[in-house]
Amino acid sequence: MLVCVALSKNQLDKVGDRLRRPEAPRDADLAIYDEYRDSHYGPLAEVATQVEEITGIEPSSRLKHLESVIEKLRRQPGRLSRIADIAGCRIRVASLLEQQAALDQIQAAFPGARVRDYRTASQFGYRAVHVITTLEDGKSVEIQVRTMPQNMWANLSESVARGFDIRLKYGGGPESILVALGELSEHAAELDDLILQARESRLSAERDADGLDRLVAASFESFHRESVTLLVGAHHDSLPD
Amino acid sequence: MTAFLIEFDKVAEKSVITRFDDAREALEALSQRERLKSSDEEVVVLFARSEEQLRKTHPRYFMPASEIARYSLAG
Repeated sequence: MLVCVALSKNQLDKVGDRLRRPEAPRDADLAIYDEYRDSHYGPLAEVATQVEEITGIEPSSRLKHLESVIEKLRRQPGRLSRIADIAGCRIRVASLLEQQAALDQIQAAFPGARVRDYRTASQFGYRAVHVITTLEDGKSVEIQVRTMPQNMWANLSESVARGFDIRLKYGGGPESILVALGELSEHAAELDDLILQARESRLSAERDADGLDRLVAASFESFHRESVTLLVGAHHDSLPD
Repeated sequence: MTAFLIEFDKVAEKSVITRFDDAREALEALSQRERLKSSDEEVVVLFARSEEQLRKTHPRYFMPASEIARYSLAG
């Protein structure tokens, strides 16, 4: 339902506390979460439209699904009303250059927004920039800005975590898969640097830009091979003895 | 924005995608499906102008994990 009866933070946080428990959620609590989540649709659509207008890049958006919010509540002690990414939109950009440009534009359009910068200080291998803006009605929308390699790694990592062990997302789970994901994250960061060099060479019309493009393609290819090796190893490890 | 209800089978790495022009209908369908899904399924509603756009930002719902890097290079 998109029509939301105003819930107090207190009511909402009590629902969050119950969703955190290991037992199956009550129907009444699920209905309240649905209502709360759906009340973010308007703010999300508004922010997504604005992001597209200012960056010229088409975003994709989502409202946090139940499984994901329950995982978050069980993983950390925070309150449901304080979760900032119930509504989120994402843009994918070509390189670190465009990422910084998009970040500057978004920060100018949403003054006072909080920035979580995971570009240099990655979170368990995850790299991106998140901007969290809070609208007048108090609802927050998270804007994710990712380069192509950052997005590629994040999608791969999410697939592996959801397919094998969700703890992998937060530095837990099987060590061998964790190490392989860490190496792939480093590889994605190197790819970002290569793409940036190629981009800058194109912009300055240097002659070696084609060579850099070939290096980028080769690096993608080796990332692909490494990701397949990781997945084969993970499948093998997950088979019963 | 068009709404896409994605019912993703984590084992088979395949999605059933239903398109909605009305966000309310998509979110109601999401609520219903979330209550019935198995632990091998992930159900989500994504909003975008096109499915092609979603493939760029959320490739994991559209292809096996082993194909994500190859697809990213092409796109």
